[in-house]
Amino acid sequence: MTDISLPVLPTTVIGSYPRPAWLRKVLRLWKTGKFDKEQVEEALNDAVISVLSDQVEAGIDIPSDGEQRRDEMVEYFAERIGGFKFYDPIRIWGNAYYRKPAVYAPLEYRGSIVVREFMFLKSVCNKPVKVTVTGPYTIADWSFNEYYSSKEELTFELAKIINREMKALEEAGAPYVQIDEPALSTHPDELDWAIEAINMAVNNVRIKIGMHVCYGDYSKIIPYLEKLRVSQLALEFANRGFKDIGIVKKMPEDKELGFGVIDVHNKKIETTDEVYYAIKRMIEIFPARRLYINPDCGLKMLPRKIAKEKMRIMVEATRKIRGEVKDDGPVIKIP
Amino acid sequence: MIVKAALVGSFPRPFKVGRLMSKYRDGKIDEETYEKKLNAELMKIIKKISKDVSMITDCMFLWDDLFEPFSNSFEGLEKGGLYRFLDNNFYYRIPVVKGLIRHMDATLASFEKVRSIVRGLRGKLDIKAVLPGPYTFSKMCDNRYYSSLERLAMDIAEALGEEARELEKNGAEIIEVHEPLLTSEEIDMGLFIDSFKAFSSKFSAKIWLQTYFGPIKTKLEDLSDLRINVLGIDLVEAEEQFDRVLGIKSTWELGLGAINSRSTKLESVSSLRCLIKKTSKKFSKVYLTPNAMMDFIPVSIALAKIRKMGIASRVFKK
Repeated sequence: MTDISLPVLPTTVIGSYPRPAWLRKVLRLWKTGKFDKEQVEEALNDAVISVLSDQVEAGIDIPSDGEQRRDEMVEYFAERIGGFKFYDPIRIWGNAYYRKPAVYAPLEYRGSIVVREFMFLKSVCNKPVKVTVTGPYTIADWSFNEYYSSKEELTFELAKIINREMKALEEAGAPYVQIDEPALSTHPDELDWAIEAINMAVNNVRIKIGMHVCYGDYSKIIPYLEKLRVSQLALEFANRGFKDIGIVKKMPEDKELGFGVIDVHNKKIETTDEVYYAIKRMIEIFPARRLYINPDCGLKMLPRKIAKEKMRIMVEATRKIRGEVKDDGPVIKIP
Repeated sequence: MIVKAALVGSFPRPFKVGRLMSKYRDGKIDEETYEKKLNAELMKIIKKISKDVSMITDCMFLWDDLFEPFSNSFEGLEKGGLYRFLDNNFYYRIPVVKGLIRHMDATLASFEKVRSIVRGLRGKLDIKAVLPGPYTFSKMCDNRYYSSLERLAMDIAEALGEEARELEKNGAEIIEVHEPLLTSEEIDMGLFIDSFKAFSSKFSAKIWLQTYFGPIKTKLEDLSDLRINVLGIDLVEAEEQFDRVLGIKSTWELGLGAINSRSTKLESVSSLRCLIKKTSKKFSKVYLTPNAMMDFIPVSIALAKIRKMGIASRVFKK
């Protein structure tokens, strides 16, 4: 494989995308025994093709599979790693719930978790793609720990497992993996070992690795970025009205920024101008050659039509500003 | 010494109730059906809880988060983006301050709803009304109007004080005030005290000051001039507070936050009983409570923990 050249300000998604209404129905009926596993698999594959087509039509340069097979980012991993169990769902905001897992026994890697997702996506997409992997710290932080003596011990056990998954993805040919660590900024006193655990999760993996963090105080993470062995940090900014964007000036020069320009928890569609001016503000303080454009977070909570339109606006605004930027786009190196 | 088991803040909103609320908000069911089903669910849960606790809150079932009813009601406030609630994987809509803050009724309806359910139950069950404290509220909102935090905090104190007065007029005898930022390293005690005094001067109902997720960062003596009847402290994530609280001279009743509301591990009745016993010489009245609101654990676990609270407090009475 050859290296992948991207346009300046490449557009991408953070990961999740709304499931088509018909898929939600199939999954509901599956639970009542009205579909078999094979039929559900077919529906999931078709859903990936559908949401991929939404992203491609919107003009996204680096799409994902919209995490169509995942109900929730921690839940999905916990269901596939030995040692987890589930209680009834808990609320996360408004009326959004998730099944928070509990660790009740030693963790065990039972084989690849998302490689199959990547392989299918690769088979139906001729663009560079992004695969998302929930990070060890966030899995630990968003789980109940009933077994390990400390959260730190649990996190490092998870890091070993995630590292095996990352290596499996590299072997399968994934060019770009994003580690999702939304919990990272929530306990600053744990950052020392949390960063070490993330580094363990990406140890000896030679593909492009980004990390996504959202809804927190980024100033707590910035001092640790030098140590962190990922090349990109994707951050949410639209939700907070682009209030703290100056913080990116403190990012080390070897790190790219994934700039969140679309609010994923608000059905109001941004205007092209709003997104354009947000990017313009950003490139005044951060080099365009190290900048990717993405929504704040996964889009799955939005109605599908709105998600697609938000993507289209994001791409339109990005294309508008590309003409004003002289830098070359980034290159994804293939090992 | 009197020992009672009590709820603090919210009981987790069951998934079924959440779905019901979503359907209503999306216009998929009419108000009458919604109210009927909601009341039935609330009745079911409150009945279960009331077997083990003698004081509940309005369970905050209708509140999406600690600030949402006020962003919806108070003049000058609007709901903004989602922000993390302290260090939890739980998010609140940030109140955005866009004008002069003025009181409008915000929580009376939910308080009244639960009160009417409780009236229909056998036995005595006290209800506390819940409000965010003015200091925490002013620090956790997005101020786009006031020129200083002080002016904002004082206007929020005024408006929340009005809300407490209305709750009191409608039968609330205890107001539970949430000030988790008292455990923050950056606490501005001057502003905390000024805003708390402005708030508490507006009504005469008893005040339960609730803190959580860590130790109170100031000397407890600094709170002694405030009108506080019950001090609710976190003994799960700040065990060291226990000796401090035993050492203080005050007339406070104690909210013993000994049940971990962020863990599925169940507490042992004997350890709870031991804690209560240690407070017996110091306090005339002790409430055994969760260390914070219970939104962070599943309903089944919350109920199991409440059960333990009930057994521990009953065992002690014997």
